[in-house]
Amino acid sequence: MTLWFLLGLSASSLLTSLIYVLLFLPFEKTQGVVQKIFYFHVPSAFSMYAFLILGAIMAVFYLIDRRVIYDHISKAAMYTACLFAGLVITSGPIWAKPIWGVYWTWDPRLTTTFIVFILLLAYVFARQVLEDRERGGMKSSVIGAILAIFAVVDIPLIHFSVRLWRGIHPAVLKDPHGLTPAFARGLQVMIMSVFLLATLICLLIFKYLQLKQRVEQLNIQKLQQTERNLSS
Amino acid sequence: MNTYVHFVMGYIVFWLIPFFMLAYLITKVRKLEKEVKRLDDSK
Repeated sequence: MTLWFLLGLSASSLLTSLIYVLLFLPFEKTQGVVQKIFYFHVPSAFSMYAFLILGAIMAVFYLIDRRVIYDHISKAAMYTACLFAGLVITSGPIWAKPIWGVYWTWDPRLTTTFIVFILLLAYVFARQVLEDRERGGMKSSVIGAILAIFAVVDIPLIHFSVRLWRGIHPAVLKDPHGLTPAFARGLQVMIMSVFLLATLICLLIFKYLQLKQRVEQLNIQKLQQTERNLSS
Repeated sequence: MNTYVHFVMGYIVFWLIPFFMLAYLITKVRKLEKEVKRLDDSK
């Protein structure tokens, strides 16, 4: 019920925000229409940060307490972060080609984001492969938790890379004259909508993991009952 | 290349990736919900 409500809320908020930024906000003077990619590129990056941090916090909790629910929250958050990192890494080059003349350059921010994306992909593959080998095993959760903590360390590097190494990636949010009030408002509504979408995806993954565990438990119970019936 | 082409490409990516992810997850969750119900009923 909550999920359906969230789905409706997320869809309507995303649609309204997109109509606002695409139809009501003016084109940027030098970049033109392609600047509008910024309205989902930046919110996707923020969502990636937020869910990566959540994933790492829950991974620490899991390593301390070993409760399955922490592992499920961490896994759902990390998968969501991976999806949004994918959005950031594909939308960036689409914007860059007409503005910089190239799809990709080894700028510090691009490189650090690419490293995080690779770490998130490694997380997803590691979890899938290890769980296939040892269903319900602890090895996959522990390795996942370590990878999540390792990936979150890169966030400050991405964030401060523009200042630290002076790359060509724009840093309009830190510049006081970077965004006009209208553009900033557009960005704020899109951040809220994209974050809502990311939350919905994370909740769905979490629910999927919980249900999968429940099915496994019920199957084991059923098997034990059949064995008891056969022996009696 | 025309900036409009890049703009359209960008928004197609933005709609397609989360849309397929959502559709895939909703299908999986509903399938598992049915499975849990079936197993609960057969107890």
